[in-house]
Formats: sequence, structure tokens, C-alpha cells
Amino acid sequence: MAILLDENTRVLVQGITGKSGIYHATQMFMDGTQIVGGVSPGKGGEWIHSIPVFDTVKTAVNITGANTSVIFVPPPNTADAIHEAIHAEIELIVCITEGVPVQDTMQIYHVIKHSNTRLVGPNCPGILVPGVANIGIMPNEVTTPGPIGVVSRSGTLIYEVAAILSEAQAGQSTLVGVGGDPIVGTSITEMLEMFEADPETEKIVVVGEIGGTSELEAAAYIGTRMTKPVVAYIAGLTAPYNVRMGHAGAIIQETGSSAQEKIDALLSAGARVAEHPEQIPFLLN
Amino acid sequence: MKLYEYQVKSHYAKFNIPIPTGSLVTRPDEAVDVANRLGPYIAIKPQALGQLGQAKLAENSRDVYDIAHNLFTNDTRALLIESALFYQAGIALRISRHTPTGQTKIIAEGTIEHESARSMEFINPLLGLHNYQARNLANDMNIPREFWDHFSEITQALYLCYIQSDAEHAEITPLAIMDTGDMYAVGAQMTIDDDALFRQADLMRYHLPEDDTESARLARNSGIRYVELDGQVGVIANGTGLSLATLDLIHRYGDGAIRPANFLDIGADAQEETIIAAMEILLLDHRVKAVLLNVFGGMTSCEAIARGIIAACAVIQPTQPIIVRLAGHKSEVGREMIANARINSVIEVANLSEAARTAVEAARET
Repeated sequence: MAILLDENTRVLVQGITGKSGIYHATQMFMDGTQIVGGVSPGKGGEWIHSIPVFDTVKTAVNITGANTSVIFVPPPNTADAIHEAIHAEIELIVCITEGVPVQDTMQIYHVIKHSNTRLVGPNCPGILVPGVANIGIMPNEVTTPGPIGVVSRSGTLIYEVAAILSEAQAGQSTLVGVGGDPIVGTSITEMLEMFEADPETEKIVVVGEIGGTSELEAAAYIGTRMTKPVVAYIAGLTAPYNVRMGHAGAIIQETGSSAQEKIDALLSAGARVAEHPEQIPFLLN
Repeated sequence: MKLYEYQVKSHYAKFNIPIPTGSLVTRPDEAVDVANRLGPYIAIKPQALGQLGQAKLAENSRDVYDIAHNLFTNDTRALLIESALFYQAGIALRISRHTPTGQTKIIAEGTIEHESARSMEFINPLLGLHNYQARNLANDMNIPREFWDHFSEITQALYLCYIQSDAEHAEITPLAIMDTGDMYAVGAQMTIDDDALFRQADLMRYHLPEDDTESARLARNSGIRYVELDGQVGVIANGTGLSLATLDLIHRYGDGAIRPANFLDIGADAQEETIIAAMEILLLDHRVKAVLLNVFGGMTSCEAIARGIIAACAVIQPTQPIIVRLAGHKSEVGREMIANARINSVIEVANLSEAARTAVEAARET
């Protein structure tokens, strides 16, 4: 999708020298993503393969012309890393880290509104454009290029859905994990707006789960403004109430946050809803 | 993280939120001692994690002893003994997140002078709670104007506590408003963001080890997210969405009779040890008749998972069927290792719905 990622995307990996950072920087590099540098305070001057490591985002941007950052920095310092990237005028931040305190994200959410930066995540697997670029931790091998846009709150479930779609010859235009936290930088609805405007996307798959009301907002958008067909799957139909199920955002506490309520809203809006992931390709036809 | 009411009140006191005079006791005779100091009217509140106990009132030592004695159970190990407050006006104050707008919301609700009211203010996290917002709440709740300053102080203190404690929810239910204008947090509840505990050492001290089940402790030490449910099929999966989808599928094929025994997410970077711990938790649960392990490896290596399964089976020697579905990163290697290990109880399946169906049938037969 030209709006989020294209051949001009130049990526920094923040937290590149950690175990996760090294592994995924290598994977992304092998997938063809333009990784132009890494940032790890105190490790400036080191190299990860042919990727130079810098002490600060500002230096890295000055030297490499990076415009995108993917963040693997652990929770105690994730907010600091995000603010650093915003201040250095990075245009797109993809935050992989799970476990960022919600209050930190809340502040970032408001700061970002007054900046030129887009944040995807936190607690997300990233953005993958099959055949073009991979910013994050999604396994490239289960994806294949095609006209289906995929947006998900879940990480491993997006891999499962991608594999199911690829198996059914329903290739993907862009896959985006918006993240499993209660407050995230880019919502499902914002992704739907982008897919609606994207000439390479013909149909969209939405993978949601219990917790929060973002799928209800998406349903409202689908029902009133979208022309492209949407198939949804919502995980957690049988989850208990008031218990956090893994993700910080996966807890049924308020009206509208249960799977059934989301399914009902999506059906009312004209979307098709799969009862289990393997049904998705059938509903796309 | 949930807290006990007595802990929340103690924490609120640090922020100068007025609380009733009281003490925590673990025996009826202690309750009497405290009551004698506080007398004549005593409120006795059972303490349960994350809940507000219903207060029982007592007027004399005899009553205090009897009431206390009856309230102590296997689940209630402590009571909060307080001076009872008699008040006409009570306002519930609740602070929580408003996720659609990324703001904090504060709700006031209650009855004063026979008028019921409810009011809400949204707080921008970069700006904090404005004084005018506290005045709006006071005005909407019909609080007498001469009490507005004190109400604003307490509301600001609650908000400050909420922010500094990384709370998800914080409430004063209710804030008693006396005729004199004195106010007290008669009931108090707070939940802390689990992901912020690394920077809340003080609050971490409130965590009582005896509140954890064995499984919960094992899960926490291994970085596993575990929720006990009521069924017969033990589930191990990686990632929240995939775990929830697996639970949903078991329900679907189980028709209500066969259900998941638990939710268990091994997380994003599971190693051999994580799988061993996960298998331990499930196989030592006597309700579990079959285990379904569903891993779609991204960063997680199915090879490491396979090694974990083989090692766990060698130690625990399960009799329950273990249905294994591996996909993604190193899944061919993982599947081969499992096939070569020839463990009797392990059944290997290729896709998600087949895995769920097989696990449900296995649980039905056992």
C-alpha cells in the first residue's frame, strides 16, 4: 500500500542490539526491507551485518535519511524511544513491544496528534506488503501478493489468516497488525479508510477480538462509507467477562466489548462474518 | 493487579484522601480490641481481593465478636474494622480509561438532598484534571457550594493517585459528605495496570503470595498468561487471538458438553522451558482429559516447541491424549522431531479446525 510502505521507505530499528532486535532486523533485511540503520544508546559504532548502529535517532536520521522506525525496545523505555522518534520527525513508527504501560501510550497518543508522525501499535506484529517490504515480525513465507487487505488486532492470528488466504489463492495487498493494547496509534477504522482509498486493494478482511469498541467504530464506517466488501472474524466469542485474556486490550468490561456485540454490529453494517478462520476465503467470494 | 480495600484506603491516605479510622484484623478477639478503641458504632467489612465487602454494623463488643466470627471463612481471612460513619449524602467517584479518545474519564454519581445525579468529565492526560472540571462535577451533583473546595481537593487527590499508581480503575464508593462538610472515602477500590508493575514497587508489596494458585504462580514465573476456565480440554497456544480462536473452536465442536479447561498463551518468544511449564500446568490439572497445543510460529520456533513437548512428556508421562498442531517457523522440523519421538499419547494434526475437532473427540472418549 503506497500510503504506508513503499520502495522509498527507509527503516531504522530501535533496540536493534537486543535479542528480538537482531533476529527481526535480520529477517526484515532478508525480506528486502530497506533497513538503513539501527539505534541502541551506548552501542553506536557497532554493526549488525551491514547495518550501522547509532546512539541516537537524531544522528541516525541525519546520516541515513531514515523516515520510518520499528521499535523493539522493552517496556520500561519504549515510550522514551517513541518520543525520541517523534521528535526526530520520523514519519511512521511501528511499535512491536508488548507490555507498554497504558498511561505512557495515552500520552503518546495525544502528542502524535500534533505531529507529522503516524504510530502503528504498540503490541503489534507490524506491516507487511507481500513482495515489497516487511516492517515487523510477520513471517513472510505465509503471505502472497494479491488484492485482499488484512487488518488485525492479533499477531499470530494474522499469520493464521494469511496462511489460510494464501492457501485459497486469495493473495494480500497489505497486512497490518494494529496491535492488542487498549489504546493504539492507528485504529481498525483508519486502516479501513486507507484500504478503501488503495487501488491495489479490492476486498478487506478484519480480524478482531474481545475488548474495547474499535470494531463497532469500524462497523459504523463500513455501513456508511465503505464500498469495498469486508469479511470479519472476531475471536473470543466464548471468553469469560471481566478477565484479561492475554492482550492488555482483550477484556470484556464495557458495553460493546464482547465478541457477539461486535459480530452483530458488523453484520448490521453489511459485512460478512466468519464463524471460524477457515471460513474466511469462502465469504470473500 | 487487584487490591484489597484496606490496601487501597491505606494508599489513598498517602495522597491525603480522608478515610475512616480503622484497622485490619485476622481474628475475632482482635476485632473486639479494635472496636473498643474506636467505639461506640463499628463497621465490620470482610476483605476480598478486588471487591468491596458489605459492611455489617455493631454497637457492642458482644456483637462485634459474633459478627466477626461469622464473617471469617476460608475465603475471608481478614476484616477491616472501622468507626461507622452516618451520612446522608454519598457520591460515588470513579476514574477509568476512555479508550476511544485516549483520555481518562471521571464519573460522579449519587444522591444529595433527594436529588439523584450523574456527571462525567474527560481528562486529557497531557493537561491533567482542571479545577473547573471538579467544580462542574460538584455543581452537577448538587454539593453545597461551601464544600466545593474540599470536594475539588479530594477529586484532584484521587486523580493524582490514579496517575501516579498507573491505575486502570480507581474509585471512592462512596465519598460520604457529612453535614459539617467533612468527607470520607467510606469504600475504596483500585486496579493497577499489570504492565506498569515494573515501576510500582510500593504497590507490588501489596501482592500476597497466598492469593495465587499454584498454576497462576507457575504461569507468572514462566511468562505465561493463564486463565482457568471450567472445561475438560487443556489449551496451549501462542498469541491472544490464536488462543481465543482455539477456545472458540473447542466450544463449537464440543457442543456445550466439552469445553476448554483454560486459556494459556505462551507468549511471543517461547522456549523449550516455557512449553514444559505450560504442559506441567495442564497435565497436573485433573480436570483435563485432553490437551490441544496449537502453535503458529513467527519468532517462536516450532523446533523449540517440539523439544519442549518431548521433554515434558518424558518427565510427566501423560495418559491424556496430546493433540499437537504446529505451523509456521520451523514447523517441518518440529513435526519430524515429534514423529520420531513416537510418544504414545501425542497425535499430530495439520490444521486448526481438525486440531480442535480431534481434541474434543479425545476428551469425550476419555
